Amino acid sequence: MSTSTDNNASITQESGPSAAVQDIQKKIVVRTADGEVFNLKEEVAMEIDIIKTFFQEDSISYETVMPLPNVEGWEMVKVIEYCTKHVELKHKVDGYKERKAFQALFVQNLSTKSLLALTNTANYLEVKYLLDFLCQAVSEQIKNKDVDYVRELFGVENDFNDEEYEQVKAEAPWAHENLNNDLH
Amino acid sequence: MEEGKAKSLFVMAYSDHSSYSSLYEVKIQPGGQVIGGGGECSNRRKRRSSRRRRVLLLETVAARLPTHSHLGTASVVAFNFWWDLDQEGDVTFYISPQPDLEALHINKAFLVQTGRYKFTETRQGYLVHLGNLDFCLVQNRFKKHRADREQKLCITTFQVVVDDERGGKHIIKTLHSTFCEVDSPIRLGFSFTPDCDDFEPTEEEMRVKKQAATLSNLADFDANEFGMSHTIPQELIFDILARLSTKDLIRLMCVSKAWNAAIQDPEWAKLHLQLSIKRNSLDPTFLILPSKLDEFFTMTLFDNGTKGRLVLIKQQSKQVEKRNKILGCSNGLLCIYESMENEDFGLWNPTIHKFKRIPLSAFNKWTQSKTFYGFGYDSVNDDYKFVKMGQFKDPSGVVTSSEVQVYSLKLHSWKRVQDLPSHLNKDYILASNGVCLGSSLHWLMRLGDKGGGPMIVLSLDLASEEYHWFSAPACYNSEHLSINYLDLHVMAGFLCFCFDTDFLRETWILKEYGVTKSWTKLCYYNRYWSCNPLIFSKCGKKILFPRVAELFWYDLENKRIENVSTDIRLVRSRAWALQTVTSVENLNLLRRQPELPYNNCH
Repeated sequence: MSTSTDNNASITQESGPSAAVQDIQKKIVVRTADGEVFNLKEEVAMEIDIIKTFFQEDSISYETVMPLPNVEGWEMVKVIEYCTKHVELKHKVDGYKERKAFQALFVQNLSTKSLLALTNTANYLEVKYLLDFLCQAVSEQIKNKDVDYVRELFGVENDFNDEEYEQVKAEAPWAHENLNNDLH
Repeated sequence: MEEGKAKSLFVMAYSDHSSYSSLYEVKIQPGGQVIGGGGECSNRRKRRSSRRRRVLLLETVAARLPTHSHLGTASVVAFNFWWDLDQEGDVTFYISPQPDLEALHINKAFLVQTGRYKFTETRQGYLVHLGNLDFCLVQNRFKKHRADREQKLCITTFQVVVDDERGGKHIIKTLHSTFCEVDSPIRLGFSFTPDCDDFEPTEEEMRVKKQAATLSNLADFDANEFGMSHTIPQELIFDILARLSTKDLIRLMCVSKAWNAAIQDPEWAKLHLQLSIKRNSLDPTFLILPSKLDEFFTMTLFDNGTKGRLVLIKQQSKQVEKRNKILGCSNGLLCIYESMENEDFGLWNPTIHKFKRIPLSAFNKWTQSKTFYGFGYDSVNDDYKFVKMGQFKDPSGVVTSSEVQVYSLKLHSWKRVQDLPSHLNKDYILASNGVCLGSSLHWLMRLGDKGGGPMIVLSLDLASEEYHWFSAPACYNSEHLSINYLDLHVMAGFLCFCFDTDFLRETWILKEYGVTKSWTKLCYYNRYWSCNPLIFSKCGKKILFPRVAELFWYDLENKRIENVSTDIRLVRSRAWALQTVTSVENLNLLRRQPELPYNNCH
């Protein structure tokens, strides 16, 4: 039975940069909704609060495969990517620019809908800093987009009739000008 | 009284001993005579504290005053209550007392004092509207001394009529007053006639109504496209929307009815405001206003304050255009005016292009006064308030009284608050308009009428409506003082006092609020810069000044100037006399339709 002291021992060993040490460190295994299995480094896994809480239970051993029924495989990949970078930058003193560059690349190929799905996942997995970053990223995407775009993104039905809609729009016509409606 | 139909009046009474209550029904015949009466349908109910009852009738609210027992009369006080809708659909409420209506004649037998005065007596009264201009007053006298009890109930019916003989004045015409002795000890709860749909909404009902317009049902996200089976939680959508600008949010009010209501919810606006203020502290944004407000600029600092992004915004309201002077700025709302003499003040929310005129209000006094104003935010009540303060002189020129009125944006009405503390009012004269710090407005007051005397800072707490005061810095020599300029302003959460000497403007800052000793000289500079500092730099060693349309950092230690680089070609061609204030995105629409009272039983 793996005891907590063993874990502590492996944690202190991990803080060293030696490659050999990294092989011995514990891995945490999760399975996503589509059946994919991921092996996470412990320190990365512990960034994800829902996983951290799960394994903090005494009865759960590290060999257990944690099911994540609300998470898709591609989402897990992205979450791991972000958390790994976050852990890496924790030890750096001045990682501001590097972080900004990484963040820009991270969202580059994601559609807004994917971003939104990922935000939802980050909320479920309880990774605070990732959630904060993703909410900001989504809000940047919907900035200056028109009403139809936002409706479609969030799946909201328009319950105004034409007359009512024109009325509401007429209260602030300036807000509907100078919008930017390129790619979704 | 209306012809024909007898009115049924219900008197709710509580027993003294337990939570046992009973309903008494009384019939009132046309002509005002009270017939019959008797306890019926008793039921258990929680004891309610008796409330002074008001009856709304057309434009008049009648309230009951205590009975003058020895005269056998009771006065009825009426108030005029009305509201005014302006062209923009904006409402202002007014209330003013009317002279007393003439006395009501109550049955003398009811009022007679019997027995010894050792009795402790409880008196209660309840005014009921019977329809049209008919009223009745239900009164209860309950005496108790040890085991002795005496209980009398009196019902007086009256009408309010116009007395043509006395020039159309409203008077009371007592129709009938009857009383009876009641055996069981009762206290009056309330009285009503069912025909009149009389009811008072309870606390719970009012709260439920409020909650309806919240964030429920913001979205039902259909996640099937991605193979997800769950919806996006409210708080998440919330978190994303809260980061948007006011322009985006105003536009998104068109998404659906639920979103429309949610974005207008004052609780949500409060949260958005807090986030805006936070963002402003990271990326400071300023409004630059030319003398003709047909357009204005926002300037956002970035790159650690060394660069500024300038954006031109067109301003469409004619009302705003002519009001190019700023009284105060709170949370991004500006109080602007064209002329103080005309008192044409208005509130302007520049980022959402909303404007609201502040309705005029006259002082009750008519003698000459120099009026000073102030505008600020009351964080306790989440309300924006505009204050008007006047000191009044008697014919010999001595200040004898003061009057202070406050306009509340939330309540759409003016209200008189307590006068200035009399000992201050006697010796000190107001010398500046008010500035807002915390939830208090601050004014400068000067000892003596002629310039140069020691000064104090008077503060009015907008929530508690209390006055406090402390000294201004006693740092200047009054002979050198150029009386043209002396002012209070607020910078970065601190109160600042500045004045001009021959060539310099000195600014003193109150490091610790309310502690006079903590007034510290912040800086002095060429008075021809003619401006007041805006914010501190992140390191705290520099302060930001506006100059024409540019901003520059003044290094306090090295006494050096560093310009904020920006493209000011946009600004150069515009009108002179530019003013700069801190900008915050505020969702306050200024004009929310309040629920107007309705009239029943006409």
